[in-house]
Amino acid sequence: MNTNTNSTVFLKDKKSYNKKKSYIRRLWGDVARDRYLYAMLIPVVAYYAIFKYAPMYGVTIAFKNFRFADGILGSSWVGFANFQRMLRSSEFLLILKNNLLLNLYTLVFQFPAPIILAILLNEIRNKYFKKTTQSLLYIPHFISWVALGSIIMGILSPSTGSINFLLVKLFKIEPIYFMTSTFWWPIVFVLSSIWKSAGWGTIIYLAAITGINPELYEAAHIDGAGRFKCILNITIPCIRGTIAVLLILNMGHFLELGFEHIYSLQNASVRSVADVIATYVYRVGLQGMQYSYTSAIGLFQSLVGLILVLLTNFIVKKMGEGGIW
Amino acid sequence: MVKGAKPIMAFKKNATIGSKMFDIFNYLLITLITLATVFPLINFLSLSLSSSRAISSGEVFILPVEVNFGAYINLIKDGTLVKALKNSVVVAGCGTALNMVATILGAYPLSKKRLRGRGILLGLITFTMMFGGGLIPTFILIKQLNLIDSYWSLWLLGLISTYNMLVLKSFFEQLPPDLEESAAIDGFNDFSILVRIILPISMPAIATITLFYLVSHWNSYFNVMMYISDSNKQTVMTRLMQMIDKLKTSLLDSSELQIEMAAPESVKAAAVVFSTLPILCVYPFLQRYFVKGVMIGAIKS
Amino acid sequence: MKGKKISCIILCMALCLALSSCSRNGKNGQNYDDAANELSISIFDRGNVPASEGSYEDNRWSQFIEQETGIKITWVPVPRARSREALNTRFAAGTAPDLVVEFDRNFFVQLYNQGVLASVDGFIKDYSTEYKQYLEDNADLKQYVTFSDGKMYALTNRRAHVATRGVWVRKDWLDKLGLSMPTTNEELLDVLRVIVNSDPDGNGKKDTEGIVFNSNSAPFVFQDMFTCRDWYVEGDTVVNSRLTDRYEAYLTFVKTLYDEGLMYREYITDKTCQAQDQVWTSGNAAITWGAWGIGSSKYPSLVANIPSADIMPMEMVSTQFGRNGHFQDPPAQRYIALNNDIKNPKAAIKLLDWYLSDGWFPLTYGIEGEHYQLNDGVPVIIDKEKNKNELDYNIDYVLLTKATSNPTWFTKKYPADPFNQKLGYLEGLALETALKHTYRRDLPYTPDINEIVMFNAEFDPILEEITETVISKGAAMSPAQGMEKIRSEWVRLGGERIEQLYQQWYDENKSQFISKTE
Repeated sequence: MNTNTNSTVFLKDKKSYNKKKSYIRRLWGDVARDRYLYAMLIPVVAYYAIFKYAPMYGVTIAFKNFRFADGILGSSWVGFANFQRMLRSSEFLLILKNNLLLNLYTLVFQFPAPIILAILLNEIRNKYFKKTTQSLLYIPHFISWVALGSIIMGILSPSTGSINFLLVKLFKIEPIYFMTSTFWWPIVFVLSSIWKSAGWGTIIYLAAITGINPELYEAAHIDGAGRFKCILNITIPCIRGTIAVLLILNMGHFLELGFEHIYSLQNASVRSVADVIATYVYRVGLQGMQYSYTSAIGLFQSLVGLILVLLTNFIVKKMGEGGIW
Repeated sequence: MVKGAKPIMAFKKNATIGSKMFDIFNYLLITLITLATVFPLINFLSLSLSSSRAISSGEVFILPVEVNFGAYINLIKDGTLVKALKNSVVVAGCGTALNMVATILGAYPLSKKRLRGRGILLGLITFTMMFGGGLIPTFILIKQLNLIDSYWSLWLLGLISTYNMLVLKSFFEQLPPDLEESAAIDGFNDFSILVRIILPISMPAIATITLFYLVSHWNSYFNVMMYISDSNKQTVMTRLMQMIDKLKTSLLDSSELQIEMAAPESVKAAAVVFSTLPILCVYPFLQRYFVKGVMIGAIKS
Repeated sequence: MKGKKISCIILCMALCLALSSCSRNGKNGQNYDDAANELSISIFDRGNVPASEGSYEDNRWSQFIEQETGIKITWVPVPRARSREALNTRFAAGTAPDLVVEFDRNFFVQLYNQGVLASVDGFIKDYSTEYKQYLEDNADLKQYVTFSDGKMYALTNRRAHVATRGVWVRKDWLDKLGLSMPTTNEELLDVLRVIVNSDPDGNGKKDTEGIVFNSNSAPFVFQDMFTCRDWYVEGDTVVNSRLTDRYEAYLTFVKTLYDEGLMYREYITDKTCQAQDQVWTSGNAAITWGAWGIGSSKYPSLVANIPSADIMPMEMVSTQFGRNGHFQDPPAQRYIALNNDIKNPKAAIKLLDWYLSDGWFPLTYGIEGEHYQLNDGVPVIIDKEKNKNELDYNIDYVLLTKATSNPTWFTKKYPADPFNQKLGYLEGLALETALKHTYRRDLPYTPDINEIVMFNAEFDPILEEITETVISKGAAMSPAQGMEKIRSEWVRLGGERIEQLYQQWYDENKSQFISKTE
C-alpha cells in the first residue's frame, strides 16, 4: 500500500482527483488479486444474508403487540411498552439477578477450568497416560444435557444416589437434598457445566500450548527455572492470546445460559435461584404466546451481550492482546 | 499435543526433587479428576444393565447388579429408536460435511488481513452472534423456502457456527505466511493454496471443528422439534426426549389415556447409552488427526 | 392533487373493506363443493406407533378414516409434551393445520385471543347433523367451547367418565396389622404411622415408605382433600381458596407427612415417578397416590414381586372442613378447533359428524372379530397383545367419541382367567370409588382474562416455592408463617385487583354456567 501512495504525493494540483482515482484503482487491483478469496466468500455471505439478516425484521416484534392473526408486519406498534413492562416486572428482575449470579459463577469457576486442566495435562510425560485421561475427560462433552440431566439427578438422589451413599458412609451425616436446596443447586449447576465442558475445552488450549517454541523452555531450564516457574512465565503468557479470544467470545454469550442445561436440572423448590432468562422466555413466550414481551427481553439480552463484547475486546486490546477485530 | 510433551523431556535427564514432587502431585490430581468425570457415566451404564430391583434399592454403584440386557433388547425390538438412529446419522453426517465446507470457505478468506472489506464483514458476522430475528421470522423463512419437514432446514439453518468459524479463522491466522508466499510464487491461486497447502497442515483444527459440529448436530433437539414434524424423520434426541417426557404427559391427558407408562429407569438409561455411544465412537477416528498437529510446531520453529 | 390522493386512498380502503367483508360473509353458508376435499389435522406424536404399523402419518387407522370418509387427511404430528411450542409457532407463522386438537381449554382461549380460530356456530348450523343433535342433547358442553364474544370456537364431547385421581392401599398390610381403611385425614396419618413403624413386610429393616406418588402433581393431590386447589363461590363471592385457612391446614398436613417420613420425600426430583413406582412395585410402600386406574396400581408387577400383595382403592378421606372428592376432570374431553385459514370447513364438520355417528366405535374397540367380540353388548378384547400392537396407539385419532364407561363393564371386558378377572374387578371398584364423592368445582373453567393469566404466571411459582419451603425445609417456615407470606405476597403483587376481576367475571357469566344436564 505504501508504494502506491507515493505516486500521488507530487501531483499537487490534481491531488484529490488522482487520490480518488488511485484509490479506486488500488481497490480494484486488490479485489482482482483476491478474486478467489471473494468467490469463496459468496456462499458464506449468502448464508448470513438469508438466514441471519433476512429474519431480522422480526426484531420489530419487540416494539409491537404481536397478534398471530395480524402477522409480524400487520401488528400494531406499541413503542417501548414491552420494555417498560419488563423493567417494571419484579419477576423479571429476580430472573435477571439469578441469571447474572449464575453467569458470574460460570465465568469465575468454569472459564479457568479448562486452562488449568490443559496446563496440568501438558505437564504429563507418559504418553499413554495422557492420551487415556484426555479421551476420558472428553466424554461428557458428547452427551446431551437431556441425558446428563438424568445422570446427575440419579447420582445425587438422597436415597439411591451414589454421592449421598458415600457421604453417609464416610461422614455419618444425613443425606443431602442437592437438587432441591437453594444453596446446593447453583453449586451443582456450576460443577455440572465444568464436568461437561472442561475436558473438551482443553483441546483449544493444548493446541495453543503446542505452538509454543520449545527453545523457550530449554532456555528457562538452563537459567535454573523450575517447572512451576516455567508454567507461570512461559506457558501462560504464551497462550494469553487464545485466552483473550475465548474470553471475548464468551462475553458475547454472557447473559445466555444454556437453556437445556438449566431446564434439565430445574425444579420448583429452587425456582428462586434457578429461573433464568432462557427458561422464562421459553415459558412466557413460546408456551404462553407472549412473543412481543419476550422479544423485548431477547433484544435487551443481545444489547448487553454486544456491549460486553465490545468492552472486553477494548480492554483486551488495551492489555496488548489481539482481540477479535 | 505430542509436541507439547517435548519441553518436559528436557527436565527428565536431571529431575530435581521439586520437579518430582510436582509430577506425583500432578499425576494424582489428573487421575482423581478423570475418575470423578467418568464415575457418573459408569454408574449410569451399570444402571442400564441392572435389574430394576437392584436400581430401586440403590445397590448399583460401579458394576451392574443382576446383569440383564432386557432394556437394550426392548429398545431394539421396538424399532423406533433404531430408525431414529439412522436418521441422526444422516442429519449429523451430511450436516457436518456441509458445515465444514462452508466454515472453511468463510474462515480462510477472512483470515487474510489484506482482504478488502474484511473488517466490515467480520463486524457483520460477529453481530449475528448477539442479534437474531427470533424464532417466528426464521420459521416463516423456512416455510417460504419450502423446507419444513426437510433435513435441509436443519442443515442450512446451522450451516455456519460463527463461533467455530472465528476459531478456525484465528487458527489460519497463526499459520506462517511464508508457506503461502512461496506457493503463490509457484503460481498457485488462493483456492489451490487452501486445498493443497493450508488444509493438509490444518487437520488438527479441522478435526476439532468437525467434532464440534458433529456433536452439536447429534445432540440438537430444538430445531428438529420445530422444523421436522414428520414422524419418520425424527432423530435420536427427539425420541429420547419423548421417553423422558412421557410420564409428564400421561398425566396431562388424565384418566383413560393412561395407556402409556413411563419406561423403567433401566430402559431410560439404556436409551441414553444407545443415543450416546455412536457419537462417542466417532472420536477415536478423528483423534488420529491430532497427531499431525506436530507439523505446525515443526514449521513454526 | 392532494384531494385525488386522498380519494384514491379512501377508494382503496373501501375496496379492501368490501372485499374483506365479502370473504367473511362468504365463509358461512358457502357451499365449498369446489374446495378440495382435504384437511390437515394435528396429532400428538407420542412415539407409540410401532414400526410394523407404519407412522403417525400413515397407518392402519389413518387409512381407515380416509377410506370411510373419503377425505384426504394430512396428519401433522406434534411432540406430545411440547405440543404448545410446536403449535404456537405454526400459528404465529401462519402454517398451522386446519384442525387443531388439544385437551386444554386455556390453550384455545389464548389462540382465540390471537385471532386465529374460526367461529364454528355457522359451520355447525349449515353442515352438521350429528354434532348439532349431540350438542342439543349435551347442552352443558356448550359453556366450555363458548368464548368471551359468545360464539363457539371448538367442538368437544363428553368424557366417558370424569374420574381422574385415585389412591391404592396395600390391603394385605391393613389386614395383617388389624387396621381399617382410613376415612379421615387423622386416621390416615395414624394408619401410616403404624405401617411405617411396624415393618409390615417383615424384612427386619425400617424401609417401608408411607405414601408414594404415581403422578408428578405431588403434593398438590392433597389440596383436593382440603378443597383448596381452586377458586370457589362462597355465598355469592368468589374466593381464592389458597388464601384461606384450608390451605394452612393442607400445609400442616403435608408437612406432618414429610417431617414424620410418612410420604416419599424425594417426590420433587423424581418428576417422572419412576423411582416411586419401583418402591411401590417392590412392595415397599403402603399407598400409591395419583391416577385412579388399575394401570397406576402396577398390580401385575407388584404381585409378580410380592405374590401375597393385595390392593384396594381408597375413597378420599374427610377433614375438619368436610369431604371433597378426588380431583375429577371437567366433562369436556378433547377440544377440536378450526383454523381461521381453513380451506374446507365443510369437510371438517363432515369428518367430525362421521366420528360421532360411525367412526368412534371401531376406532375405540377395533374391528369386530379381529380385535373384539361382543359379550352382552360389551366389546371384549380377543387378544390383548394384538390390540396393544394394532389398536392402542390410535387413541389420538379418536377426535370425538360417544364412548361411555360403566364400572360393571370391566369384569366383562377382561379375559375369563382369575388374574384378569381380578384386574377387572379392581378397575371397576377403582372407578366406583373415584366417582363416589363429587369433586367440588364451582367455576366450570378459569376466566380467560389476560391480566389474570399474567398474574398467575407470576404468583403461582411464588406460591409453589413457599409451599415447598413450608413442607420440606423443617423449622425454616411454619405453616402459619407460610400462610402469612402467601397472603402478603398476594397483596404485594396486586392480588386484590385479581379478586375484583374474578368477581366481575363471575357476576357476568354465572348465568351461563350450567351443571350437567340429567
